[in-house]
Amino acid sequence: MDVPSDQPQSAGTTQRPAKMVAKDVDAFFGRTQALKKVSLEVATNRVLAIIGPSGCGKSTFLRCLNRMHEVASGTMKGRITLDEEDITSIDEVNLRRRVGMVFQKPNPFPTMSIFDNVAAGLRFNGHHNHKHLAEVVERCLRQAALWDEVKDSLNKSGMSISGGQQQRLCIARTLAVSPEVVLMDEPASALDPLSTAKIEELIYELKQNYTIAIVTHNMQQAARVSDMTAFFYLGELIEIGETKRIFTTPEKRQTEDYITGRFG
Amino acid sequence: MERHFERELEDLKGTLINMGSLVDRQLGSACRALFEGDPARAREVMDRDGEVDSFDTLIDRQCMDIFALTQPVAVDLRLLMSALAINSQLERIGDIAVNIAERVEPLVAHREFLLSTRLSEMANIARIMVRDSLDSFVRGDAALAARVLVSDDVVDKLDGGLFRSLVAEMKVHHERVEPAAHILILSRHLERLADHATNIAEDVIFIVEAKLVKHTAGEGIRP
Amino acid sequence: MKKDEKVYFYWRKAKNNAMILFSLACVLLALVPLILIFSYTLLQGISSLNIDFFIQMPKPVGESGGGMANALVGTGILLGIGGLIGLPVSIMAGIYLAEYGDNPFAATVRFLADVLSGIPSIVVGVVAYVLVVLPMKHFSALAGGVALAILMIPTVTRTTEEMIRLVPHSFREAGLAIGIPRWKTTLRIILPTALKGITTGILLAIARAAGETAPLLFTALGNRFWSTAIDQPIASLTVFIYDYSKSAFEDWIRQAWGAAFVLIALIFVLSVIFRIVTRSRYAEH
Repeated sequence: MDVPSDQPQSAGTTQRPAKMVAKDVDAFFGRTQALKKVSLEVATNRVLAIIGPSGCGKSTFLRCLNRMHEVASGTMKGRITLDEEDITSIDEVNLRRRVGMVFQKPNPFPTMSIFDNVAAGLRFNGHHNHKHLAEVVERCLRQAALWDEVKDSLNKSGMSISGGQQQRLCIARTLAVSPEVVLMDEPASALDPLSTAKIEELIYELKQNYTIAIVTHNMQQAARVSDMTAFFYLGELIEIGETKRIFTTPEKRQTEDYITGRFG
Repeated sequence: MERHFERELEDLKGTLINMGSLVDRQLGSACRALFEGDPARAREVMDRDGEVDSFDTLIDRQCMDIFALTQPVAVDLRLLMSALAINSQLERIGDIAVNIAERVEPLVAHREFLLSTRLSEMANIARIMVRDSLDSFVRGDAALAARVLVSDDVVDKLDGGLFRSLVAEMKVHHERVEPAAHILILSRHLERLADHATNIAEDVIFIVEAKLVKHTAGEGIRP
Repeated sequence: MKKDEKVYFYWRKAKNNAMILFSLACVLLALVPLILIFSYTLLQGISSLNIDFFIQMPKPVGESGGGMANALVGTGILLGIGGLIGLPVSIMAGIYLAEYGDNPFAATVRFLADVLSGIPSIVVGVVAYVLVVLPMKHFSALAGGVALAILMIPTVTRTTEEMIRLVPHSFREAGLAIGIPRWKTTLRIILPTALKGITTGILLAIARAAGETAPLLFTALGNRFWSTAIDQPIASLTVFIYDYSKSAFEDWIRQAWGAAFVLIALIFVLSVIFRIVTRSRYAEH
């Protein structure tokens, strides 16, 4: 019978290098500063949850990771690297293939079937071999835990399935281009509890093959699903650490106040 | 739908069961050491108490993590709350095993006297109660737990009887006062042991049937 | 209810009913011109509505009978040329304005498009005359097509822009987020989604252009005879109506009424199609 000992919990950033590193990131939309000197690491094959009250910059930060902030005319100072390569030196189209994103409201392309939705990323970048596409579509729908539910209706419109299924379809669509990192911006906040639970379990499975960063305003979800948690407030990173520690003994008073629901 | 944190609850149960096994073995060793007059074995029991304490800390931490990270409700919540309580009971049972072991040496020379009392009978019943209460937790068996609650009366009666007979003995045979005193204290330990087993059984009933039967002193649920 | 409340209640009800009746009266009033036009043209023109009317050429002056086949075909050709010239330009402009239109240049383009839509069609006809007829040294279907194109451009541009803007930004983001380049996202994802709305804009523009007369007088002129050549004058429904309604012959006047009815019916049918297309779009979302 094994004796329990005080082994340190696997910290997640021990052996392997971080997948993405942000250093002193400032972000601006026009004259408004949305992020102030944010530095953190996103550990490989781990789930990082980003929490904080509305307007704290968590979505902005997430979007900086795949340069989607530029789509909303945002600018960024500081340095973000993917596998130690500065993301501004990577072509943004390539970057977004490697760092995918799933949005809050499920948004399958309305004029396409389920199959076409998942294949879109590949097809619009020159892959037309139907056999290859079919393989990828099946693989990704399985990874997104949606295959069994739609395998007989792949030609139906992407909008013909329920909200929870649509969101899993969007996840499959993101996985189809073989990203290394998957960013999720409140992926379950528009869904019912059962669909939310399915998505959470999906995230737990996906982290074996992908690095995941998820923004959520639901703290309990962050506690259930993530390995590391980062708390943002008014554009600054207040605290980051192992989820277990953050939710039992946070270091900063602000973190504790937010987590216990005393503000925000 | 299976959630990934169900594994954590299973792990917790497993750890509790392991602690229970350890404590049961400690108790067994301590009683054997006592009734066979084996100070070496008693020494082993005292040395192993550190392991019991480690389990105690580990389970507290596991429970805290599960509370913080998974917001348990209903049966999961009851399990967790009871796990904390059972943990504490087991740790005290472990301490009692040590207390018993501590009295082995002083009683080595008075083995015959010791065996002439009903202490070994009490010890057996108390040990069975502990074991049954742990089994009822493992199997979620509320009926078994209820039977443990009944045995508590028997132990209490034995304790009372032992007290009276030993007091009578001390009045007559003055040279037996010292061993008699040890045996009285041991009897008290065993009575406490039965109480702890009873508490564990009550917690099991709470988990399984969501009924709070603590402090109800014999109403209702006793079969 | 107390007495005060009761009085208030009935007074409120009375006002409510009065308003409903008033609204109904207004609706009927608005419908009157529509019904009048429709029934009057039908009544006046029905005698000339027969198969011959649709497939025969106009008869020489003095003879009765004949048809407006060349005018029907002519309107079709003019709309075709106008569409070919005007639609690609305006759709592209609409896409540009919607996707990249946050700069002063785009604002200018938008403003000019709005100005263009307010220019009287006869002025557009004169412009087309100067641009096409003069260099070519004669009237032509091409010139007519150019005039119609100019008339179609503002509507289609603005509608295309609006319809593309209506596509939720999330689809754009979704496309970009899976590594599809910006232009491809616009063409392969946004455009197909907005297509239904854009086609209704096109239908509207065509319906308007089909009813224009003044610009065609300076450009396509009109043609008694059968002609489908682009570089020659060509007949059209509207000019046909204009010419025949001025004539002294009763027969021709009747035919003008018939043609007028056909034109109205054509626009009516196009509008109905517009309704059907837009309705199915709403049902989807």
